[in-house]
Amino acid sequence: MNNPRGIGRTINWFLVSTLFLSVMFAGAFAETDARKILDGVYEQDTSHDTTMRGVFDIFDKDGHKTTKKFMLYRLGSPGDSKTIVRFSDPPEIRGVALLSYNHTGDTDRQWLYIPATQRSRSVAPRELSEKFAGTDFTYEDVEERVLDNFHYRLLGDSEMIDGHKTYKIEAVPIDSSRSQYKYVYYWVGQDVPVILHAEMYDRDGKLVRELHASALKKVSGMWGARHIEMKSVEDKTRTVLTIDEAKFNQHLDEKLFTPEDLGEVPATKH
Amino acid sequence: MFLALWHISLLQWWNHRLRLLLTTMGIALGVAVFFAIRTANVTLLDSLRLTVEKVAGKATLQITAGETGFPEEILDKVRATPGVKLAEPVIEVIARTAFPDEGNLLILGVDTAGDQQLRDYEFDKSQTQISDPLVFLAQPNSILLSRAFADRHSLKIGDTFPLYTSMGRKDFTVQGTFKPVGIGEVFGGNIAIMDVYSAQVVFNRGHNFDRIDLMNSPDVPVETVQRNLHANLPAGLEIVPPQTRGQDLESAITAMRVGLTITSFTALLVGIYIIFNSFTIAINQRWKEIGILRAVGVERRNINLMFLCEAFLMGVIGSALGVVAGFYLAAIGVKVMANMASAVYGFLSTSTPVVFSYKYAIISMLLGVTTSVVGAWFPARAASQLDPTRALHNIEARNREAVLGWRRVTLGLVLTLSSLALMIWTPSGVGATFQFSYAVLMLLGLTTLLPKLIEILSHVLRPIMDWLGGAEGSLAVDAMIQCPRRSSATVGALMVGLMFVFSTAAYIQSYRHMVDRWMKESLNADIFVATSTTMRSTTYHFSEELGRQIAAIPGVKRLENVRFTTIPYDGDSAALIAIEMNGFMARAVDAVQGENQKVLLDKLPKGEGVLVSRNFALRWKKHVGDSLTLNSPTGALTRPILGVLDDYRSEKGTIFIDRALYKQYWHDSAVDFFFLTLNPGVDPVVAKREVQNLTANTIHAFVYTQVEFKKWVYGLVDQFFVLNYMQLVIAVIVSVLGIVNTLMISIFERKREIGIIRAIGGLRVQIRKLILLEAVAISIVGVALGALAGMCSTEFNVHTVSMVLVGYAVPFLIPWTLILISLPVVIVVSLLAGWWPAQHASMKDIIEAIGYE
Repeated sequence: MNNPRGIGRTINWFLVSTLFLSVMFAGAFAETDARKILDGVYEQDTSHDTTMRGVFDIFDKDGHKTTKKFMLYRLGSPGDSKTIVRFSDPPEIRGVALLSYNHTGDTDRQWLYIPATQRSRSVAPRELSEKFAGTDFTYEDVEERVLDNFHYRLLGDSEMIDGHKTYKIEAVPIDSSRSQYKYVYYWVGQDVPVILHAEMYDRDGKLVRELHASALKKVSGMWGARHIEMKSVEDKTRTVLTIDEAKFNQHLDEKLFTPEDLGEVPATKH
Repeated sequence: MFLALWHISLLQWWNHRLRLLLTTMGIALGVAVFFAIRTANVTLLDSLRLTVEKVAGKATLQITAGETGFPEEILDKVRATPGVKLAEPVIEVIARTAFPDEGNLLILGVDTAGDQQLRDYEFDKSQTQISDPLVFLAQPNSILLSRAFADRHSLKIGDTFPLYTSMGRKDFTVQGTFKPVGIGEVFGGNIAIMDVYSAQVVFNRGHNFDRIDLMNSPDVPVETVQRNLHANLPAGLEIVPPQTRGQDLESAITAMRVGLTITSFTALLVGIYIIFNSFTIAINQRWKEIGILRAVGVERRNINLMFLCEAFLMGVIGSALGVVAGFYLAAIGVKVMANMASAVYGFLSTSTPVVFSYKYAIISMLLGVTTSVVGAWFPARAASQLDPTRALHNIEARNREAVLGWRRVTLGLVLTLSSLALMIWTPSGVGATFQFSYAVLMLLGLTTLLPKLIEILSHVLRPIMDWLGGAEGSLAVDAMIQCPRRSSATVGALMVGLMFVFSTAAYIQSYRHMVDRWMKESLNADIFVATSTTMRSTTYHFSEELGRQIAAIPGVKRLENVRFTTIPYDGDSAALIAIEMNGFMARAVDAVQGENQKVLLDKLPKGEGVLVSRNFALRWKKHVGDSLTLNSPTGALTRPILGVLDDYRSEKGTIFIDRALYKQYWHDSAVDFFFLTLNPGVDPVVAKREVQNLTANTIHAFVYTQVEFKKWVYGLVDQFFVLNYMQLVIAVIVSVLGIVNTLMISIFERKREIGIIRAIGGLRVQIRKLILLEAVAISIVGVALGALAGMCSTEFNVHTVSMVLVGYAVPFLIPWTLILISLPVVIVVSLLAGWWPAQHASMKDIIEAIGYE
């Protein structure tokens, strides 16, 4: 210990190992941070049920617009929920309803109700890359995100989007068969736990879709975007999802979230 | 030596060019028909299989339950089966378009999301609107068209076009198009896609699917998945690879293929006869030449070889011509067969070009050459065994006794009677092609007996001809008696040709008689309402609700809802008729043989027993009292057979069960026919109009009174007999060829005889009369023997073809009217054929004619 070279050596060793350990655990720490950040986005939703009124404005590559209006009803919490999307406009699809059962660890089950036939039919598991209802959102984009299916890495924390400082997070699927994407970048607001921007890259590493959220609003203690735009880069099409109204904990009747009763409009339980 | 003989043959050919041409044409005809039918058969089967496989796409297994379909709940069980990667439901219909120039459209009802992983369709991305799958699913009249069909009718996205559905004529909206690749090539591009659940509604499928197509997981073998599915699903479902379904199609049209095989072999048989005929005449003409050759030392073997080589070469030339002609005929044949397959069996095929098959061309050539050599065998042998001394004598000094001797007669009788005995007593398990040899045996026997039969008939005819034509008439018949070998050739050709004509007519007449009886006994409703102009439609069905509306029409005493479908049975298939047994028994109880009426009337309506058709009972060796187990999509159904009746809707046999029992097990309430019984005194024509008015705006229904229905059934029977009519045409051509060929030759052969008659004072007009009266005598004998041979052939058709192969009890009827009509027709043809040679012979210089050898 009275050997200065030995102390120096010891100090050097300490410094190197600290540095090494910092580098080694920085990733894990960053991953933990990144994961935590995204957890924060989803965990803020503590509602028992959700009722939303929304509109899809779908623009083709020439800018022509078609509009689809819908109501969304969700019962349960992320990871264990039942969701109905019922379209009210245009007339051709009025009354069409899609029921999804989501349970972490199981494949989603879906049923579709068609008013013209007055029947519900089970729907085969969709290709993840298939477009939902003719919009630019794919089925993977609209389904409940299972955070455990991805590795996360914090890439930066200084970029600004719409006046909000953001965390830039990279999400890479653990099992490539469970996602159409090779990786996704998220920009999450540091001051608001909302994904403000996202870029999706396909298996070749090519940018295929961009999402941008705006018109942030806090309802019942939960932050959400009321304006979400999804662009398909190659097709040059885009869809704007506008949430006109969102209500939580309306005591929706669970009995209506069944294939047999899909033709009925969910009502509140009194 | 060989070259010298070859030179002699060539000279003969040159001198008798017409005979050579006619003989070669005979071979060419036989080979052309054989090759055309084989090629058309293969082309049709290939196109049926291609359709099945293209429609199947990447599916490795398909699940069906005959034509009835099965409840859609089966789909969840299939998807839950280990090893199943992907399972998609299908409804497949052939719908009538309302375009005046367009026939049918194949519509696949699929779940478009998952189905694209199974089937190869490339959607056009050229549309300006964004394709909207929700609209496609939400609107039952949404449809996707193949680009070929869309272009043909100038249809774009958003346009509508009309189709006939189970709910009548409806407009469908085009929501997209797909390219003419993969599935877009099927059915000539006449293919469309719609949502499977919309198809259920529009084509009245209830909650059933026609089929499930599935793919196995790559790590689980197909056979394992098949086993797992069998364990998981009810026994009434067939789970097979798509290729097997293609083979099933082949088996389903067995009756048609057997008919084709018989027609093709008939054509070859006719070819053999023409060769035999021609060589017999040729050798007759060349006896002197043969005698000289033998006298200068040519061995028997070489004489034999000379004629066989001639036959071989004729065979090669004729076969080559036949193959070429057959290839072009095949294109017509494919169309005819495809129409039959569609009309009678409901199968659709994708039109494929006729491909020249070297394999079948070689087989046809070999058969043609063999036919030629076989046909010439006996005449060549006879020529080689000719005694040179006798051959060099006067041409009339023939070994007459040989052809009329007891040995030949005995042989002929043995052959003929054996063939008849074999026809009557052969067990049903013996193959069709083998049984065809009975017809060959019979023809051989009759040919062997021919000279004797001609002698006998000539003796009977002599006084008539004497009365009709005086001395010339007697001379004409005497010429037949004295030269039986020469006459045999001509009469033989007539006999064979007329045999086919009479037996075909007899068979069709018998079949119609059988259908008559069937309609009187069990198809005896007053009004019939059908969904299609073919025997049955797998696409269009009525609903029971429509039945209730029709039953409410004043004057209708009773309405029976009838479902006519096919189900898998014991590795094959059988027809199934589900009918309200109360109504059926009320009008058709006398048609049933089995339990006593009280038992039938009591048990059948309760579903406590079933009936089967006679051909079903024969085919499956079932009897009254036996248990019958049917595997339905929901489980096995076992009931006793209470009775047997004649029914001719399906060569596979038909099972009759009560409709309520059928609906209970098959979950299928579709209706294919309404049978109406009217109150006494109600005019069927008025009732028919009422039904038509009722159905005018709902569905495309075909309404018939009993008289009209019978005509309609006859029309379907005629469609089935298209092949037999083809045989008739061949037979007529053969008859004409045979008459022309042999009459001309036999008349030339008698030049010396004619010269002698002229020398002793015979007038030219008498010569002409003599020749023509001989033609008349030959015709009469030919018709008589043709009728005899026709009856033997009819026995073959009725017993072997109908009863043994298909199980139908066709009565044996003789077409007397046709026989009587054919006599003057044949006489006229013979006179026409004999006119020029008679003219020519009568104008010949006497010295030259006497010197003719």
